[in-house]
Amino acid sequence: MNKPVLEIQNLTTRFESEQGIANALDGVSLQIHEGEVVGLVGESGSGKSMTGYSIMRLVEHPGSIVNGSILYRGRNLCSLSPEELRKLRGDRIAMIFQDPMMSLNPVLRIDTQLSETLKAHRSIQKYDANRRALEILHAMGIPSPEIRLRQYPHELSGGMRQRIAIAIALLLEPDLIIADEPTTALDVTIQAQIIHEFQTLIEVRGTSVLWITHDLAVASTLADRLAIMYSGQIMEQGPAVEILSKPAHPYTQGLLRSIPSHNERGKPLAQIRGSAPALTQLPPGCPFSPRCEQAKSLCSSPVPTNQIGISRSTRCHYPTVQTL
Amino acid sequence: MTDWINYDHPWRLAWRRYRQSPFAWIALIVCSIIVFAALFAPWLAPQDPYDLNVIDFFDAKLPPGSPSQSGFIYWLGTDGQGRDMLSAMLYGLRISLFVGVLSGLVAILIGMTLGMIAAYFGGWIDALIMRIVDFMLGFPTILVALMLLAILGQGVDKVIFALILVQWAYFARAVRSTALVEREKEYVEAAHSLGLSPQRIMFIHIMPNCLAPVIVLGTMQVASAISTEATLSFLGLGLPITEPSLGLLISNGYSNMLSGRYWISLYPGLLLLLTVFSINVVGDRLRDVLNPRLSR
Amino acid sequence: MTGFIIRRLIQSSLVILTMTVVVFLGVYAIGNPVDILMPDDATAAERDLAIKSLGLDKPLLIQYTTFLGNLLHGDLGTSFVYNIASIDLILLRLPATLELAICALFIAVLVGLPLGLFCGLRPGSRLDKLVMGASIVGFSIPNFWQGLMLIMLFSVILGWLPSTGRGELGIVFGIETSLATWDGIAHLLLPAINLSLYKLSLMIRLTRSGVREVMYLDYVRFARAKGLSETRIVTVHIMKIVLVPIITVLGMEFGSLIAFATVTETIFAWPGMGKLIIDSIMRLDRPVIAGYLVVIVLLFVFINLVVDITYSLLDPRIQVGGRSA
Repeated sequence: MNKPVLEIQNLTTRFESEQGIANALDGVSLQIHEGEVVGLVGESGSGKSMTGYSIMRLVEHPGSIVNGSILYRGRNLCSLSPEELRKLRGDRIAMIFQDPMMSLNPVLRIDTQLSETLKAHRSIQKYDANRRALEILHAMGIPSPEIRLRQYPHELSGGMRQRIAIAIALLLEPDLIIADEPTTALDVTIQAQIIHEFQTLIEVRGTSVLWITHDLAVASTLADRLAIMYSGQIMEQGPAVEILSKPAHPYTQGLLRSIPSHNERGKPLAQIRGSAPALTQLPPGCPFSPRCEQAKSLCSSPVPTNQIGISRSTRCHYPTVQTL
Repeated sequence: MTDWINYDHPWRLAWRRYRQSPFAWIALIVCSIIVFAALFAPWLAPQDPYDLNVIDFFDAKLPPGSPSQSGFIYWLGTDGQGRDMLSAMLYGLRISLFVGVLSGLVAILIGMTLGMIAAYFGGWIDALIMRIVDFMLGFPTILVALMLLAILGQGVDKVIFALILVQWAYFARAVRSTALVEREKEYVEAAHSLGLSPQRIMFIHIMPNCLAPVIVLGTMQVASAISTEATLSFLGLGLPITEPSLGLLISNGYSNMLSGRYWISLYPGLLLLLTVFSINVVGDRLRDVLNPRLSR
Repeated sequence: MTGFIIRRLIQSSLVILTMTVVVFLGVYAIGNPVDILMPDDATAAERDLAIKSLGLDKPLLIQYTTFLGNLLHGDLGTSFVYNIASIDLILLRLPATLELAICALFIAVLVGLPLGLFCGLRPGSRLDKLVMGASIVGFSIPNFWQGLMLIMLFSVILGWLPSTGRGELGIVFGIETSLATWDGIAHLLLPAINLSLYKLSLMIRLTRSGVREVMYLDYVRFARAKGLSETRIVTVHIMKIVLVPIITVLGMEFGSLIAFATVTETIFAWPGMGKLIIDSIMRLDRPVIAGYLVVIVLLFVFINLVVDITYSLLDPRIQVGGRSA
């Protein structure tokens, strides 16, 4: 078993506001190994995007990491200086944001946005930086890259913009890419294209990926391992194939049951009753207990993470492996 | 779940947030004191500055703290005519506030109505009103006021008229922007389907939701109106000498400045500054409080 | 782009035309100009002569068209008081006002932009609160009183700077300006500071709020995620986005600077357009008032046009008749 590229241990990211205290991440533990794609799945508000930001140490006021550690190849990111962090970002760990229209600076040209990343991390001349940018666009199969480079973000289509964002992420051949819902803002057909292209690119380079999404179907296409997140906690983690066929956590089971293709025609769609609680008003113990059909009295006390197999863990007092 | 007893009306929330800044609190208190002083000037002032019998020319240009013939002390000195500065300032404050607030209120009324009509009916009515608004806003306040007074002459009513004309456009634009957003919301559609009249929908349903920017803008505009009126009076174009505002007092003391009799211009100026400043602080704080986005 | 410019030119012409009507009506139609000119004991015959020579006996529309015609020839009437063409009078004084306004703008930007930037990047800090409070004082101080106090402090008490008038002029790049001589600068300093204070406060607040808005946007976060240095993020990513609305506002505010100069020029006896207009209003010199208004309108329309074009050049998102994505 190769050593993990990234290991999150018991991470808690807290937000304090007038409405109360919310733990966007509550004791999150996660491992990403070399060349592995980990799919982090959860609904909105579950804390999945915040996990990505926490790893990059980009959590903004009023939030902050209050507990735990993030080990990148053994170095704890939580104790690095701002300058050391800056060197890692974009170079060894890169991030792709959800909406490229909001992440690419609208008043800067594409070539500027690509080359500045290179220049921030390598001592490289402008000419070489632009050449490298051109190379990567070629490698991604982007048509007429010379023209693209001189354009502004608003002149490109959504899919093209996201490809640029991916190019920026790949520029310095990072060990880990955190992709935060990169296809959510795109049309379904483009989505499939981009996912396919992305897969090819990372397989060739052996990059590890943390693919954050709310779409279980997308995650299952790409991921080697899955982590299911709810209300700031990772409910279940393990090899994708196993989790999808034999989920152990009631939440995962509910999710899988409610996928339309798993339902019979003409019968009402299965749902998980109720809705996710506000992070400032979580019930004691397991956050899923109010909606869980199998909840018992023990569920109102805090739930530890239990190993239930090799490389499988779940956060439940009564995990039951169900074969779907 | 009896949360509804503690429901937070947006105004209550806003007030609570307003109170959190001690600076703004103090400003609000200062404003109240100023309004109070202006309202009760006739009772608070030791001397009636308009009553020629009481003013002694020989007491002219006395420094602060000098005693008067009748026994009371000229706390802030006297001006060129022998008027007690403190009294003159209180009366001047009264006029300045009156002009500023009145013109502000009328401008708000006109602006809000026109802005709402423009937003609600849209089409050519909107285009027409907004053309006029853009035209008016294209020129600086002071210039328009200057020109109007040059044509109309002096007098309290003319100053108020000029100030109203100059200010209404700001409110029209602010209300129109908010009303345009509100117009698309479902409660307006619901009111429509109930068959309520346009006037009712506009002014009873939509208007209350547009008040937030109006309140902020209104506060700042009152401060600006007071300042503009003072400037106009200083230049000799505003209020006539018979109704001296703070601007006029400062203007009168201008020539005395260079001979070292600073108090004739200094104190009215400080009072003016304090008034405008505290109103602006209140307005500024209101903007922070009523703006949902910036919660930092 | 050309389509845009033409459209704006047409719009501007309409505005100017409307203004000429307003100016004409306001200045020539209201009240009887003859009464002001003639001494009270003028005979009826003398009045009639004056009316005829000034063309005041013709119907209003004819008077307006004459006015407009004269306007297009650059004739804005003759000053009642100075008996020179009012356009000459105004143009004589224009450079002084422009010099003052430009200097004031310069000060406002030079001091206001960095301060606002600093405060925006560190909201809630002590310096931030201090500067914010000071800025409210800055735009609350009545312009004229502040001028008086400046004179009081720097001229009367300290005796460092002269209180009135324009100093010696010199020639720089072919233009006559006060900036060429120390005496000129000494005379320019106080009025320029006086005029700039209001704008300065506005600049600080504008920059600060602009920076605060942009600071938390995803662009900045993404730039950070790429590992760019804070310096680059601030100077390139944040500033470029923030500068666009600032420049627009600055352009529009320049017009109001010229208007506000009237007060500053009065206090400091600066020989510019502003002082001229105040004096003219006092003396009811209508041709000069009319002329001033027309010049101001032209100036404003021009400035607005320049600002619009600059804005569209700066922000690549604005399509001004170019092709769309």
